[in-house]
Amino acid sequence: MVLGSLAGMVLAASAVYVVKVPDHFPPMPIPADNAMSAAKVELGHQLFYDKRLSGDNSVACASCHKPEFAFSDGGKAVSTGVKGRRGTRNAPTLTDVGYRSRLFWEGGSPRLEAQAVGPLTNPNEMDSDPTKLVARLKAIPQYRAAFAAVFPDGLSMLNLTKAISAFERTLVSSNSPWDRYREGDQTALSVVALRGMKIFFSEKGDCFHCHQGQDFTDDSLRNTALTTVYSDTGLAPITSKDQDVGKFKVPTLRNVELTGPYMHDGSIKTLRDVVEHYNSGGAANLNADPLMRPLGLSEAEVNDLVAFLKALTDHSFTQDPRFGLPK
Amino acid sequence: MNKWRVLAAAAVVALGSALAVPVELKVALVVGDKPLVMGQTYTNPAGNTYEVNLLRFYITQVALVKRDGSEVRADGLHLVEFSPTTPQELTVMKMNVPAGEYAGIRFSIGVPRELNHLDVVHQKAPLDMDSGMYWSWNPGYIFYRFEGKYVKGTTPTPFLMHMGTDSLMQNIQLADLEQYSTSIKVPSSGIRVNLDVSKVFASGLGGQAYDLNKPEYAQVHGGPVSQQVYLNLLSAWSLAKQR
Ligand code: HEC
Ligand code: HEC
Repeated sequence: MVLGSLAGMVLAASAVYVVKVPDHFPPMPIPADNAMSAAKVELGHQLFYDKRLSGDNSVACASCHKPEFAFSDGGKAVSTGVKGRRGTRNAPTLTDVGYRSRLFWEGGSPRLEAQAVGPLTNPNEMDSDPTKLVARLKAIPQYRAAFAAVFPDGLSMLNLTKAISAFERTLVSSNSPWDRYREGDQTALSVVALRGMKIFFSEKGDCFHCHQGQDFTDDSLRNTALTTVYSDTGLAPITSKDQDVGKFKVPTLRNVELTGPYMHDGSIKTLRDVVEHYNSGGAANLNADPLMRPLGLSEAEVNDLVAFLKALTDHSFTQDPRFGLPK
Repeated sequence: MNKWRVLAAAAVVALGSALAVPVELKVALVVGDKPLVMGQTYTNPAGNTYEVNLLRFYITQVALVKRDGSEVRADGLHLVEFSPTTPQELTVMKMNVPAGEYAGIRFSIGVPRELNHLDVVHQKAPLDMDSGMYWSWNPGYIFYRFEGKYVKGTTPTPFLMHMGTDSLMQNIQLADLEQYSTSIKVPSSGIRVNLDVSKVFASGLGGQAYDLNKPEYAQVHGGPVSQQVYLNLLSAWSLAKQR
């Protein structure tokens, strides 16, 4: 990776940065303790793609959150971190992640800054010790200078997570056929996708009770009766409540066409299979959400729903040079 | 500057009489009845050859216990780090307590629930993100971070044991209020407590050996093995001979 552009960032350190979102989105929530600036975002952008953040220089955030797959892991059910170590969960998309009120599949992390410590230190992901990581980055003059320009107290683990989070808050996707339809372009959705949309937002499909809002998630934790026995118990270890076994965060459906395989464990391969799962009502499970029940959708209706889900794909997002490999 | 780190600078308040005198709490790492030497190899009950490279833990809720069971408490939360560059015995905190004879001491290893779930971005040392103890994918902080290497075949291979979460906060009571076998006199050249680090490996799950060749014991990040370690460590602490 080339760090050449870091020098130029220093000048822009104080420039105000506003995350642009369309009218049908709420403003991007920016925490008061981590104001945005162009230089901070650019520093976070560099860090997101830099393998030197991992214990053995082999893995970057972008190794598992790849732009071409809407910042998910390109077809892998679970991800591989340093030394080929495999995790147990599917890498979620980072599409519109700045809007999420809780992070991780079980929703256990309250904000992006705190979340970022996870992959950096997790031995199955980047396996870095915070103290050693900060020392390693301080040895890189460009990073020392860039951090000094953005943060009065320079390079630290906290400031590292703040910069990465600032970059993540810019990852807004709002140019899918669905968005264009919302903005008044009646031709943006195919007839099939329009039929799928009606099923999605009606009691018939009932998807919208959980997948709602501009990102198709209410950030709640639900059990979708994926299986009878959950080996990953989801929310339960945090609350110590039996009824929380198998509860996972409702994921955004933006760019979902690009983010398979699906669910917290990557156990469902295609969108069609996901819709069939809902149509069947799911496996027998005592904790299943009351909304999980056989839907009685016809073959054609299943196809319609899949077409609608594919209308949530935003290729301008995955190809946006502001988010791709830094120059 | 001290070589070792007690990352906390928490206020230590004197409770009780005006005759309070300063006294230091010292923790020494041992293996069995010998001082631990970092980097030296030891053998655990499973037969693994291992060495220790890092131990970090939070200590808080420290109190000297009188013979009647009442306590003289010292405030503060301290992060203690032992590494190959620190002595094997460290002063973990200083307190002011009334002179006299006590039955012993008690303290907790971990972060109290009311501090364990605050917004880490706003926390100061020793609860800041740079403490290296914030967990992220488990709720709250790592309470007890123990790392080293073991010999796998012929290759030195890292092992680590990270224990935390509210239910695994350890309360250690080193005061015998029944038979008065323990005693601490103040003033003193320091209250000395031993921590037998080898106790981590005392037992595995369900009576199994704690065998580092098995991945579930080589890399522990909370979970069932850490619950077993919690039990193993309850007997790891002892009052050393007070000099
Ligand atoms: C080895 C693959 C891997 C690497 C490297 C990685 N991640 Fe992830 N990421 C994942 C997986 C898997 C999850 C889901 C984990 C879970 O829910 O427990 C995840 C979850 C997330 C989430 C939560 C999203 C949500 O909606 O809940 C964010 C944000 C995130 N990662 C950001 C990052 C950042 C920033 C980095 C670099 C510092 C990074 N990731 C590095 C695999 C990875
Ligand atoms: C009860 C709430 C609920 C309802 C109703 C619901 N979902 Fe979901 N959905 C979830 C949760 C929770 C997950 C993640 C489950 C897991 O990983 O275990 C999910 C996952 C998905 C995924 C996979 C996304 C990914 O990134 O892995 C798709 C696609 C999806 N749902 C589409 C739908 C459709 C289409 C409907 C309507 C037929 C629907 N959902 C109804 C809660 C719901």
